[in-house]
Amino acid sequence: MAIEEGLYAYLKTRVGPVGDRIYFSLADIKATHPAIVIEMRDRNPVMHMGGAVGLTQAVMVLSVWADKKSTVKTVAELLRLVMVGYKGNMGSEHIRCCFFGEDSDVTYESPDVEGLRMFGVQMDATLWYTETRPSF
Amino acid sequence: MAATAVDVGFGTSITFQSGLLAKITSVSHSGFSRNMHDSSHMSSTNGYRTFVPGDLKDPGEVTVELLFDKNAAVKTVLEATASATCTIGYPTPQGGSTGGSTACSAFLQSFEFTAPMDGMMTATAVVKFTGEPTLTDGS
Repeated sequence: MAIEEGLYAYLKTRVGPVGDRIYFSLADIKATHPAIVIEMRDRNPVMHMGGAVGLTQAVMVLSVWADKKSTVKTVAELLRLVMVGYKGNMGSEHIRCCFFGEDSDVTYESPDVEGLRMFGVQMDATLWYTETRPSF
Repeated sequence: MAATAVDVGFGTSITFQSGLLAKITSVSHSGFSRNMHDSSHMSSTNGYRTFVPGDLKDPGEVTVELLFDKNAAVKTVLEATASATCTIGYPTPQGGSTGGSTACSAFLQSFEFTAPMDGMMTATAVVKFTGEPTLTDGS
């Protein structure tokens, strides 16, 4: 299972107002909100001279979207509370630790649908997780 | 196609003191060197200094970066009074049969580790070569 799927399995029961409205890379802007979008920014398997260690660092961007700024802030805080410092399983992935970096407020205004405006918070999350080592 | 010894460092190994240096990420040798003596004199040709090579050579030291996962053996190895053979094995090149090696008697000179909050635990070991090294080409 990819780390994104593990994250989805973990979050879908923990961020109340969002439920399973967790999307990979792209969200339907007209979908029910609030929602979370998961994007992988970097993925760096740790190596040594003998091959893969079996530990990977993933940097992901987690975006919370809602039609009210107050809702976004509430959900972003819920997300932070279930992620920062977490150590344990996410789906079938085992997380060694989760860190949050910078976050920023963003907005989206639809060029096609008049009055459709969304508020968002984007957060950088770094996850260290174990992976099966390749064997050759 | 003929084998070439030009290669990336991936696959380099070190054999020293029962696997103390495992999961290595970098190996750096300080270089072989020898003493020299200034033989310049008042009438050195065109004013250029001259030197004669000394008899003593220094086999140098090896700095090894590794992922830190054990430390129990460090004290034992550091306290060892006798040196042990340290062999650096180079990766076997494409089309080749062996990667060659550099070996020398050695002892652990220093070992330090770091455990950052958001990063891999790493260590740096310095292994001092002593005596005459054995350099073997790959083939």
